[in-house]
Amino acid sequence: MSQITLLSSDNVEMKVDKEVAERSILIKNMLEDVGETPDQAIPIPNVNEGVLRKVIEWCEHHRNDPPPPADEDSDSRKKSTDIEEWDQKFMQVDQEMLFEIILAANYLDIKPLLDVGCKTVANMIKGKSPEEIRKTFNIQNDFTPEEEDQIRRENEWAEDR
Amino acid sequence: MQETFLHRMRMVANSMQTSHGGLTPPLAPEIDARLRLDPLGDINVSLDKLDMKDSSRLPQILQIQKDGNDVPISSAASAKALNTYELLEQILIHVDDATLIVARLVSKAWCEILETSQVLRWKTWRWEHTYLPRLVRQDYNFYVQPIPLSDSEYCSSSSDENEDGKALIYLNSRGRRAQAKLLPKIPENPQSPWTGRCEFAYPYVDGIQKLWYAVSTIPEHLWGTPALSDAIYDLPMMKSIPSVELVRPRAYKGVRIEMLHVPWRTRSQIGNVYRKANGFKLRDFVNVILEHTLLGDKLPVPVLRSGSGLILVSVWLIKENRREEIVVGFELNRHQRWIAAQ
Repeated sequence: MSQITLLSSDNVEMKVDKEVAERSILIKNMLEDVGETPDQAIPIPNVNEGVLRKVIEWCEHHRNDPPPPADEDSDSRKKSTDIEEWDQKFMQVDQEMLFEIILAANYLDIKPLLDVGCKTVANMIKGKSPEEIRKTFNIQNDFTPEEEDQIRRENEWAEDR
Repeated sequence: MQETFLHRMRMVANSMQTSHGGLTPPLAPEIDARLRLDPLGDINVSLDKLDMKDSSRLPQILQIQKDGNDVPISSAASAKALNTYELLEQILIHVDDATLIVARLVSKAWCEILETSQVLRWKTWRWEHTYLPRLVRQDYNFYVQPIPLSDSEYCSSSSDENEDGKALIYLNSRGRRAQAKLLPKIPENPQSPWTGRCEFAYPYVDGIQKLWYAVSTIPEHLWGTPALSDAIYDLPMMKSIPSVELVRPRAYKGVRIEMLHVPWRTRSQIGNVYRKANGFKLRDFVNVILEHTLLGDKLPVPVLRSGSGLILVSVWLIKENRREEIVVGFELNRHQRWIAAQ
């Protein structure tokens, strides 16, 4: 089986089966466009070694999955927040790595991985109050007190009695 | 040699990424200006590209890092992802409606996306148009959960063709009822080839379930109440059902949910089904809704939205003179064919 070499942003080379690497639509299209199996490393300058290894690990595990539908209309990504057990364990990483994986999946165009990442974050958000969400992701409350009051008034109908 | 190859790869990647990064869809110009993920450029996106030029709006972690202090709680990656409109949208799509409704208070960026994203407006009950958002329509078309239609008589309808020659199904309204009576009835013989199915599309099944819980748990002495009263929510059974949470705010503070007005006929039907089957199932409630919607005189005429055999029936909810809806989908292709065969 032919292998290609990926070059992370911190200049670490990683050999990977072409079939595995082609889970990334970005790489797949690049290879198709170049029209040959390159003997040089393919630079992935937006993804560092640690993240790239995680992404490759995911691609290895899912190498035999059917390709996601190209037609966005038939995209099954939004069906539920169910995540496969293996993927759940895979995503048990610190928040930095979780978001790095999401960014890498987005950049490398690996739709199912992006989906798993987004669902994982969504599960962290579910059931939380705005304050708890801010705390979880260290988001600053940038509303003025007046703006906050206004939104609270608009949300009154949804508040518990 | 290597430089040439790398150059080619960069060119290819750049050309493929076009104006937007990776999976995120093409952005509107004003949004695209937020953060352009340069595919093979420098990963370290500068802060001004994060649409957070005002440092007071930065997540604390970024400020901390800039100030050289330690104790990073969150990450630059999370800030980058959560400040990318399309990524945040893809995350929030998976969040439950009840959380999203109040999530506008998280920050201005969250407020903005919850107010501008079509699908998120839909999820937070802020959608004001009579058509479905694109992503919701995609969901609708894809996520069907077949439920056998136990009593197909509720599906009577009439058909016509639109200007494009596509078949249109008209659900019975007062004006169409007489015409519908002339149409062939769906065979009642269980041995007949009719295999009509009633299908619910996620996330509408969720809405239906909420209605189902709400209606099916109304105690008898409250049947016929003009709207869900606060007293209903004091019932332990209702409090124990998480799914009812979204109905709850809608019915709160005098909001009338007409669908939950249970007229005598429906009441009777629920009672009959319950007695017969010793359990009133969601499927039965579906039939009640079907009858309510397709044959009812008192509810607004349902809206037909599709000529492709996939029919959307709007169950209108009335809230302070604003009409909102829960959409129930029916796959009537076989019905169409059956009618056509007569």
